[in-house]
Amino acid sequence: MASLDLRTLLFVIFISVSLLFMVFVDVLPISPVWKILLLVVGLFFDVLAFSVRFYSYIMLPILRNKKGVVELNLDDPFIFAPSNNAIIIRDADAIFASVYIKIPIYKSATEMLDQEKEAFAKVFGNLVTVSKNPVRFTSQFYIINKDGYVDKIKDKLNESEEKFRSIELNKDAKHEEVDRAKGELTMWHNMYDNIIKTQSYSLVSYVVVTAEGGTNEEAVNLALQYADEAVAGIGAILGVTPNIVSGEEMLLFMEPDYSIPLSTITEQIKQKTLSEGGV
Amino acid sequence: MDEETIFYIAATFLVGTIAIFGLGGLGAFATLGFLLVACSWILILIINYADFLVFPLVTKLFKLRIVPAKNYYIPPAQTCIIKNANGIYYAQGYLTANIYNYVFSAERPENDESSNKAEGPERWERIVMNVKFPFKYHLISAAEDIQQYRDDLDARRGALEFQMSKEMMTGNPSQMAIDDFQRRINILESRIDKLSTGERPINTIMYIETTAFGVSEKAAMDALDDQIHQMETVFNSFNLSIARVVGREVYLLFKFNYAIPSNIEAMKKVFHEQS
Repeated sequence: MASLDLRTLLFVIFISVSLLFMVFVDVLPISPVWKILLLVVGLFFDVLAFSVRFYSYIMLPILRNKKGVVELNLDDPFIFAPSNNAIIIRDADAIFASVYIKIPIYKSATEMLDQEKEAFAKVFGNLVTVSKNPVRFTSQFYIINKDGYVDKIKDKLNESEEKFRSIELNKDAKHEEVDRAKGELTMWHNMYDNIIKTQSYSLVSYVVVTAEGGTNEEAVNLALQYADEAVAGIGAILGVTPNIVSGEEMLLFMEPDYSIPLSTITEQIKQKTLSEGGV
Repeated sequence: MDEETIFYIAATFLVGTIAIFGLGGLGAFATLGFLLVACSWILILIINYADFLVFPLVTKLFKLRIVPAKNYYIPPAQTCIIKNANGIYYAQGYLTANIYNYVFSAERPENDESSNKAEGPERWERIVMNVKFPFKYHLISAAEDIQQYRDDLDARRGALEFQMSKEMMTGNPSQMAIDDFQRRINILESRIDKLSTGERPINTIMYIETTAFGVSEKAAMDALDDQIHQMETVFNSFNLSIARVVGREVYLLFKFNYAIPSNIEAMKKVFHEQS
């Protein structure tokens, strides 16, 4: 509503200024050169008045820009609701709350017969009509964060290295024991090399619902209500049990740095630098 | 063209028209004046239909960088949104994914619609298997009121039938006009039939998002460009019109990451509907 008022206000101001200049062009007894100059200024405000339709949100920030930086919002794009199962977003004076709902689908098209695939496509068609309020369905393909898993493999690798060294140094150790320890060490080495060099991916499907409210609590409660309706509808159509996402798990669906683990980035930059002949 | 567009265009064109009245008697300057007014009208129409051409030009010319939220910024090229976190630049780009209009304008359902539906899940999995970087496929949908939609289709069909009968009753009816009316009536009847079979009308916004990273802004944007090209290629197997999002809509889609339009009226205002 506030943005609509700002848009109307800016439009009225610009079109009025433009009209004023056009009236000057028509009425003032001045030289043609001055009339053309006034015409140019008037047309500039005329085009600005039209631009208000799409760009009212940015016009005042552009006027306030410092060294080319146009600041629309310097705050975080969202905050977590106290219940931790929703996020709260402020857009001008409006308050919105969004809830994320994960849909557990584990069947692949490769496991389906043609009739099953057609039925699934029809079911998806019913799914998108689950609500009169806008609902966002997203399929997200992301790189799995394997850091915890890699650390465990590294611990195992270190353990088997220690074991191999101690067996090697033991003069009474049998040949088979040494071979077994060496084999185990090689296995963990290969597993570690394989895991850090290859990326693992995952595909997750989820739904987002948003509600507007006068206060944070009102927006969150309404969003959770929409979410419950969506959960019931999706569960009935797909025959699965969707669940509302809470806490930091939501960050995977919103923040780009969570869809690519830092360790993957570091590894790729290292490989790129090596391949380019860097230090 | 919706009412809001008509209002804005009419109001701004009217101002130019008023100016023209004052240009009479200026000789050579009058021609210059008419040209300037015509240029402003053309610019207004370009902004209305293709502002993705104008806005990035302005931001690149004045080197304007837009900050929509903390740690995020939209570079002057307006092709992506960048987050700087932990010393790494993450560039997010978007592609629209629109169903071709001919699907909605079909007079009869396709004969192989069933086989298309059967191939859909497999085509999707093939895309996922061939892509080696993070991406998201988004579909924002809101179901329309069936009765209202049906009433609207019936009203439009009635109006077309009336126009067609008027044309037929003229002394020299144009066969081309009659064929055109009949084709448009067939399209509306096809949609009414689809409603009868249980399909619900929906408003949709479909788009694809992908994220690339780099140690610098340029590296991230270059990597993103590569990824966007690959997405355009792999998604060609679906019957979709794919186009990169540039300009003010990058900011809109960034906001959608956190909050989608909360009701159908807000959703319709954001983008043009797929008819």
